[in-house]
Amino acid sequence: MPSEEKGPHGGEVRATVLRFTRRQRIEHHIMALLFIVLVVTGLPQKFFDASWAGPAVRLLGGLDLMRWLHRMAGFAFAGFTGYFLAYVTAGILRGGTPLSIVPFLSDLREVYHALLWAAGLGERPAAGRFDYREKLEFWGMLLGSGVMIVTGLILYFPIVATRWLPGEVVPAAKTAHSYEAMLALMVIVFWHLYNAMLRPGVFPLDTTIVHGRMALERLKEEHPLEYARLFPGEAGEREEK
Amino acid sequence: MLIPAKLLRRGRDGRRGGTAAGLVAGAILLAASGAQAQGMSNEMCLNCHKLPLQMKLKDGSSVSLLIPAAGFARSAHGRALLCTACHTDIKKVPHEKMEFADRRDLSLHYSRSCTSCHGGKFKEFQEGIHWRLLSQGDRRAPHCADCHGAHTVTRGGMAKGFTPQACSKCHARVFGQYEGSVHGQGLIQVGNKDVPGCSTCHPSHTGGDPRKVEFRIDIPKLCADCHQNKALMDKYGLSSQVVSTYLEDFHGTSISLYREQRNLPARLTAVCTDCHGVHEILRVKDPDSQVVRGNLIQTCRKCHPDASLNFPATWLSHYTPSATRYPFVYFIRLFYFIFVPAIVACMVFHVGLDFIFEARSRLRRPRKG
Repeated sequence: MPSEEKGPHGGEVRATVLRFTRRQRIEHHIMALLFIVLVVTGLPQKFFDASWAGPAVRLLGGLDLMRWLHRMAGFAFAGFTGYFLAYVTAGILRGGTPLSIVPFLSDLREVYHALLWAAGLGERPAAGRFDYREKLEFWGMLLGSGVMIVTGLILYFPIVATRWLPGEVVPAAKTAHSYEAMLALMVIVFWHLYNAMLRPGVFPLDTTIVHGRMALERLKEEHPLEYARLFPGEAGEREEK
Repeated sequence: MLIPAKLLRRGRDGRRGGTAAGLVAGAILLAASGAQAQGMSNEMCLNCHKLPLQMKLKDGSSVSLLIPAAGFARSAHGRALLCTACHTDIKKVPHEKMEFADRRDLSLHYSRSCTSCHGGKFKEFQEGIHWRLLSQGDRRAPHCADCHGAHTVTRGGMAKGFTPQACSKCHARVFGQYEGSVHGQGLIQVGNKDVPGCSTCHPSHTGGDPRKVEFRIDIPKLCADCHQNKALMDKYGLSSQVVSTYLEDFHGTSISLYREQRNLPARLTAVCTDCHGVHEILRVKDPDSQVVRGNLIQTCRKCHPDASLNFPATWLSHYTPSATRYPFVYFIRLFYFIFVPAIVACMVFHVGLDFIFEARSRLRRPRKG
């Protein structure tokens, strides 16, 4: 799994490990693009009386076109989420997909120790392939997407929805859709963009998502359990030194 | 000239030039001083016109020539204007015999006098449907004096005693609807001046075409003029939140954003009048109201023909959700009101801690390589 990666000028050679496959990277980029389209076409609808709502609507070719874009991006987002779930489920059933993103009680301990470590007390907790921040973000994203997709469909098809559900479900869905979207945006801005772009050490961009590879050095520091799993012998050697 | 030439049945040649000059704003002063130069004063006119004189018109009817001198003196023009300021075709006393086809011909003839001072208003008026009808030769369409009165014209507004009944001469069907509405009953039966009359909603001079989308998109604003006025609404025990709650809903949000577009769409989402009705608007609790619970489904189906009986409840009836009213919506909102700031606070705390630690440790131990 580890391979040699050439430095930008062909000089430096660093050992890396594949963290995201090509398929996973493309999935990320498509979802990121859809997320941006949804935010840009959604925010003027939520903040309709803000001073920037008018220019935004004009820029996006009018309300009807903006809503159409929002709905089409929403369908694509729902489609990709469904595809992702089906793919992962099939992978798990076949046994090939690792469950490294599934949270355990140990993750709570990891949060506690990570905070202590950040405050300068104690050792850095040892994380596996995905640390608690990544797990939290993944599951938050998945649950949030579920809420957004269900409420979005109710809002797009209120006539169909109220054939079986009480009418109050529609304004409730609107409330949830609106606030859940704000939450998602906040998480992306305060959590994801910080961890993937602004954090000292990865600034200006964590390039793992670009070429899918992470330097072994960094893997050992940030995901020591995964490192130990990949290179059981070497970890032992190091310890002997 | 306010009234197109073809409306004037008889030519009064030799006078036209004077009228054309009068078109220029301020020319009235010239006219007035000209009249004075000829020694014309209002008293000279009233010498005859205080008498109950009658003028025979060509259609056989007659018109009184008695001028209500006291009424004129109290009018907006009473102190400042000479009779000849408007009656520019009178140059000397006694004047020549005037000839008119009928009463309407006479009033149309003199209505052009207003334009010499009120050019701005006339310009507005020219944008409206009534001017278009007048210029097409429809003598029934109203001109200045029909609403403002002639000798007793009042300052800023319509003639005393001018009522929606005046509009009903032509707009009988609409007036019939208005008469039975909650607004019309207030004005006509009780004389309540808080309720809207015709010109409250229909701009009096331009009279924008209510069938046009440009007019319809402003309807929520129009209703807001009164229904967002808390003092006024409290007087009648009505909510002043109806506009804000409308705007927060899908229909209202759409209208707000459509207004921001470059071009308005051909079809708008529902505005106030689509649910409540227009001229026939009733109290919301009236059993015949289009928005009373029992009738609401029919109203929704005007635009949403497939709507089920559950559908009207998707609309929160201008209420803000509370623990007792629409609790489902209320508690979802409450949940997010707590949940979102809590999550954001945790994230900011974590990010802050992380940033300080990472930055410090990196400063202490510079990056390798």
